[in-house]
Amino acid sequence: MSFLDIALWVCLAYTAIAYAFVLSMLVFGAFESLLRKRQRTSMDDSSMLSSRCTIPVSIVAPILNEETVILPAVRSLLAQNYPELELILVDDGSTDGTLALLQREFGLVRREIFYRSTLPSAPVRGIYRSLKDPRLIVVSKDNGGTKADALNCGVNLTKYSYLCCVDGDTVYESDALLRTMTHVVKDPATIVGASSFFGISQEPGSDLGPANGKRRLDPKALIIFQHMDLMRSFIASRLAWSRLDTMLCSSGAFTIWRRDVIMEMGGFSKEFTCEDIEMTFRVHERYLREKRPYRIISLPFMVAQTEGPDSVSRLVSQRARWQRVILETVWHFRKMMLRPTYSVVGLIGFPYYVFFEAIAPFFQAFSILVFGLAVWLNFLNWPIYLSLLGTIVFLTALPTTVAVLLHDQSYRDFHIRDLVKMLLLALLDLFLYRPILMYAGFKGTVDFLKGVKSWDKFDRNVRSLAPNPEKHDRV
Amino acid sequence: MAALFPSLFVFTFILWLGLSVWVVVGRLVYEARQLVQQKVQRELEDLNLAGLSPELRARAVHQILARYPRRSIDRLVVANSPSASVLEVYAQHVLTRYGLATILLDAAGNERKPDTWRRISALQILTRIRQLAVYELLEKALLAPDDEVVGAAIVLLGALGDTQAAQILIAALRDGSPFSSRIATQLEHFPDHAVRSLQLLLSHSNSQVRYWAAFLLARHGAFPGLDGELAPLGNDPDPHVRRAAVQALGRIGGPRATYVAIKLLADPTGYVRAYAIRALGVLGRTECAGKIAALMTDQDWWVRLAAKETLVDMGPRVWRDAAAQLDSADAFARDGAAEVLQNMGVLPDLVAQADGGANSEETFQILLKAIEAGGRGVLEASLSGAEPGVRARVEVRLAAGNGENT
Repeated sequence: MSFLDIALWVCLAYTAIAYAFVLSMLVFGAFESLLRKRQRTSMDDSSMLSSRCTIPVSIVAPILNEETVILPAVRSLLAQNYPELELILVDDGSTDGTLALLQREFGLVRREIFYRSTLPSAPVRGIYRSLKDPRLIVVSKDNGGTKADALNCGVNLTKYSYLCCVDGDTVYESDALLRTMTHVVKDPATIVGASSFFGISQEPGSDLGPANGKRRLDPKALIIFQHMDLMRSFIASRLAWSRLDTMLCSSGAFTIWRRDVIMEMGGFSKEFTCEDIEMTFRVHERYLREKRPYRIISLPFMVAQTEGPDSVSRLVSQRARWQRVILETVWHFRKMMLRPTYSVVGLIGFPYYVFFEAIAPFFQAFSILVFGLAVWLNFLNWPIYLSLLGTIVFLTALPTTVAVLLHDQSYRDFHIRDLVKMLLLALLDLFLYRPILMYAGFKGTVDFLKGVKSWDKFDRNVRSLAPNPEKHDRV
Repeated sequence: MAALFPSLFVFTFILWLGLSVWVVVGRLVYEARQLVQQKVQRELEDLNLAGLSPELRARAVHQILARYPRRSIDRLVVANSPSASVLEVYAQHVLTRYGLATILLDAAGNERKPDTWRRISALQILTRIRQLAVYELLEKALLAPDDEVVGAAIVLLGALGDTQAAQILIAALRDGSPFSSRIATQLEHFPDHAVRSLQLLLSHSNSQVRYWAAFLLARHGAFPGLDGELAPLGNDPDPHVRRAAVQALGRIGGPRATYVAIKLLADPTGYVRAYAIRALGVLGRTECAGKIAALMTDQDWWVRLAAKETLVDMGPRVWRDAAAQLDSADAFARDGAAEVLQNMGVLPDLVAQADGGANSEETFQILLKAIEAGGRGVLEASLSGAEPGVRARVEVRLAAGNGENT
């Protein structure tokens, strides 16, 4: 067998295994989605709203230079339909007008709060209480270099037994907390973490919540591709992981953690570019090693909209960071790989992350080269190559198609024309969107090998309108 | 290889196409069904059924409902809120069309071939139309091995909201159901008369039952002599029960409530002390502010937090009790006292008093200690709102006072 033969078979085998995995996940995800949909018909959110049994939640939101989106984001958090909560914003040394905007909007006054500084963080400059909403506390601190530092600072001030870690650039549905906690309180002794699906928009909050019963899909194709990417990830993929008790990424944009678990773990780690996936891995590692019962779940309903970069360069920057995070995490926790001690996480979840997330960009590029070479050297003829390519196009589109199907069956909140749009755009995913992700994957891998740790936050998208309190007010 | 790839291509294409068609067609069917449901709802409302005789009403509704598939009608009734007269006829319609036996069988569950969601759906329909057998079926469902069925049964009993449903839920609590918090969430909304029997559970042998009874009775202060029944639980061996008792007593009040709360300020368990503090706050017992302020030296963080928050809630009338802790040897207590004075909003008044008011020197010293303990935030809280002249003078005195103390 020549080198090209071997290479061809390796690429084919990798592709076949990857898609077999994906298709299996789609089946598990479909069952989980159906279960959650059925559970909705027998749950009672309204009783939880007025019950003293409903567990209060502390929302912690780190913010850094978010003046363009901070007001709608904070309003959406304070507008949560939940009986008892507190909101702790941690301004991690913003150099723009973020803090001034908050001071004006919420009547912030500087006050002392004595709290236990259990988790170390960069020095606090001042703490502010809101005269308009006693649930709001704003902490201004020196920049700690990572979101983890700001989160830990915020966690120190929390007083409730559940934390909801969110982003300061994301606008939340008013029932995000209630719908997620409804599932958490079904088994509070076991469920230590819960996250849910959030969408992508060029301007978060611009079409949040069904208008005339229907959500509006963003007009920009790049944003739609990102939205579909998250739909695939949350609805088709993470639901499956959740069902298999191997949910490996609780997103920092919206995750509810049991506070005692975070404190036991020693808070979020500042050693990693992103803190969310690392914390998830760490919880799995500790609890499985110590054989303690626990679950980290992912839910399928849309809780928020976050900003998606509206240019290719910004998208590459973001996804390169995500690739870096994956590599940092799998390298740090490499001892979990294929070890029975770590159950399904070690035997299935972790290998998936290594082979189909961490090193995927290289295999994808290698496959393109190998197949191209095979055709050029007449190892493969054009009809076979085209039929293989066509197969991959439809296999790539399938997870999006299933995600759209599952979401629509449960929520019916997109217009039918937007459904068709997503179904057709999914066919172009392999040619228009994946190459960007592949390039970002390379960049992220190179950055990881170079030891880069920076956040590389993308510049905010240009807003069509200035922040308008009346437009975004959801109270 | 020659035949494999083209076959794979065709297969994946058909799979994608089939799923895409499913999305679109499924959605179109859903939209059509929604239109049907809206049409049924409109027709039923148009008829002004309440004004018709029972026979005419039954005939009119049967004529409408018979035209539509069962699924549409089930969703219409379960999801919307038709009037009682419609529901009554719907009940007859469903039972005539599908047979009571079928629906009751579904609701009872088939042990050999369990179908969770069919059972829940049947229970929902029977609950909605308040079919007589539903109570027994829901009681049986509470013992089902399937958590989803149990959860649904709890919610449906809550939806029934009557005394019989309450008794079933209370019995489940008494028997130690593992879903006690969900049962409690539903029982909280029942009217007083439906949950009187909770009082009998206050002396149950199981501490968890006593806990829930005390917790739930907190909402029913109208029961005569309830404080007398709750008070002995202040001596319960289980700290959870003591906590629930003092929390309930705080809400319902009564002559024994304050006594129990004061006694539990010295409880060996931290969270019981914390709840006792909050109970005194809810009772408005400002005369206990001194005792509460002293607990700002407690070793338990949550007790100190409860003390601070309760003092703030009690308001400016207790500021002197809080200020007394500015002389405590415990740094946490001094910090806490400063924070309490800040949050009470009394500091600007102290600034005004310190600037030549009555007891100005004593007030000034308190202000100085508060600022030393509390830091810049307390200073800003003190001076905000002060007149410029007053502010300037007090700042000078504070600066001089700080120099003397260093």
